[in-house]
Amino acid sequence: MVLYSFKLNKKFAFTNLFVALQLSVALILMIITVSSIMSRIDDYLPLRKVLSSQGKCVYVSEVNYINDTRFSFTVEDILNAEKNISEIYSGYKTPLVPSGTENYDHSYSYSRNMAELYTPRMLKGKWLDKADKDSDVLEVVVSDSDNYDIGDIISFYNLNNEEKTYSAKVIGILADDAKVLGLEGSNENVLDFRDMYKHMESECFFFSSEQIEKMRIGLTLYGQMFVTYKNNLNDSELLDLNRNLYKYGSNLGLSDELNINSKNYIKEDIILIFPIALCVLFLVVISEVVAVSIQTKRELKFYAVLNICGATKKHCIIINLLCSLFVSLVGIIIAVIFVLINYNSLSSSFIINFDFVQIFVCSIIVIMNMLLSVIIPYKILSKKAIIEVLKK
Amino acid sequence: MIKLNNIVKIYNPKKANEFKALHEVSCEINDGEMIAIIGKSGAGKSTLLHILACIDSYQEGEYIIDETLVKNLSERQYAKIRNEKIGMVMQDFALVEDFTALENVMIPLNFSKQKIKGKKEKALAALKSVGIEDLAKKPCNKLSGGQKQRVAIARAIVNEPSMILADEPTGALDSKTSEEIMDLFKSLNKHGKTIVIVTHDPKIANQCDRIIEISDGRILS
Repeated sequence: MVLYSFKLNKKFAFTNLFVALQLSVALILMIITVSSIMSRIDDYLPLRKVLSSQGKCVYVSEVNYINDTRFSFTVEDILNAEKNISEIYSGYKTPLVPSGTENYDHSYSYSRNMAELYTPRMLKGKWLDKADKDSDVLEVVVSDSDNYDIGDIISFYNLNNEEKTYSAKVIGILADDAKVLGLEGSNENVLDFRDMYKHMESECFFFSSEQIEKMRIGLTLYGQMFVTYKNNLNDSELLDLNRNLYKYGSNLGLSDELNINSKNYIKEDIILIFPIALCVLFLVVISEVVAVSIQTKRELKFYAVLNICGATKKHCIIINLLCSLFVSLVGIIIAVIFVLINYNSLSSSFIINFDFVQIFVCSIIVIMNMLLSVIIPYKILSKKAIIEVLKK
Repeated sequence: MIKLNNIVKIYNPKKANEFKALHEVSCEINDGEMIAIIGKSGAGKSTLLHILACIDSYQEGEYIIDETLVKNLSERQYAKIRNEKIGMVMQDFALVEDFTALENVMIPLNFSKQKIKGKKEKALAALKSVGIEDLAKKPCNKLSGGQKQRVAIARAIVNEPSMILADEPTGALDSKTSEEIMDLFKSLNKHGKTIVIVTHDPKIANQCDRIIEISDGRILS
């Protein structure tokens, strides 16, 4: 049967090549579409729980002034003052500077719950959510892969007390294009979840706030702090809380403003790109149906001859299936080669990833194509008697 | 041994254009016989042959081949009978024109349920027995009518079936080639093959051991 499918493919090489090309276009388009949607969803998902909650995104400047009095707050201060807060996710600035440098303002920390919310793309090692809170050794994640490797020990001094030095072990290195959460510079122009992330353009160091606190190094709230409220607050309690949070920084509503904007941004992709991809897929399906129908009808005599020699409909279907498998493989190879050759130009204009979801969607398309190559011949062969075909 | 007991064949049953092609047809064909089924056009000869070949069904009666009742079988069972017990030769040769002679002859071997060793050798032997071994690698669309019919006969005998059914095997051939083909059938019959030939040509029919005359779906003799 492999021989017969090969001969059929050879006989209809031009048509099958056309079908394979169409399939490859559909696959590439689907990968781009799914990658685009998934990249939006992937960045939204870590924040979904927070953005769906009642609460505020508070941009905490390093120092706050109330009536000309300078204040700096800790999370404990806020939690003690506001009993209706459920949880606070926060980032910090840390006064650690690599020894022998003057790289101030490049050390940050995250609370454990903030570190667990989102893991940036790692080149090597692990993120801060895996840091050992009981460790006596300070652990650090670095953004620079050129100068550091996993296990390296970096010496830091404390900006607030230069005589105090600390050794930190590198447990992770961020990927070059990694984004981090919650260290965006302000609350201006923050519309949706995308604005919560930031690419670190220079060498940065990230610590666990638990370890920093344990070693009494010093922390200052910085960046975007997510404050979620307890459930079932009445209107009056909500109003008080919303008002009080302005003491700590400028803020935006989580579930109303930011969440709505975030969902609209994701829907944009689905509404715009997905229908185009579906249309292309529809055209591919129609082409496959037409090509397989024409091929089957032209080869009815071939199938009839096989039939009188002892083949069943099942054998004929398997021959078609093998033909389709070959065409699908050619389509996949064309798609892969095209993407590899044009990866740089494609990735500058589109997001292209190849994860489980993309593989799953592409597999569905290929399987659907192959099923059509089985169902249509089966329908055609079922309707035609061998004698009728042989008489023609 | 082939037995037909009161076979009734109706085309388009229960429809406005219902047509009874065979009316309680009964006959017996013994092993090793060479039978001609003769009749005018539309008499029902090919219908009868197609039922014998298991490529058409019947509504009433019994068709028994080697003590097996061929009725209401599964598609797989019919295909097995066509592959193992029957060799079919058609008027228009029914070959895959793009395939070589050898590839055509190997088709029944490729669909046999039994494991066959040396398929190529068996196919070549079949081509040799019909005198065209040297044409094995030639595509069928490059062969003459007589050569094509020989390929069809080789394909029909390659699986060593007990019965060869031929539907107007000389219908598309000239008289000289027709004689050669008939000589081939007679040779196969001498080697013990049961041969049933449908023909409207009395000259062909007279070369057979027995003639079954059919008219309007009924056996006259």
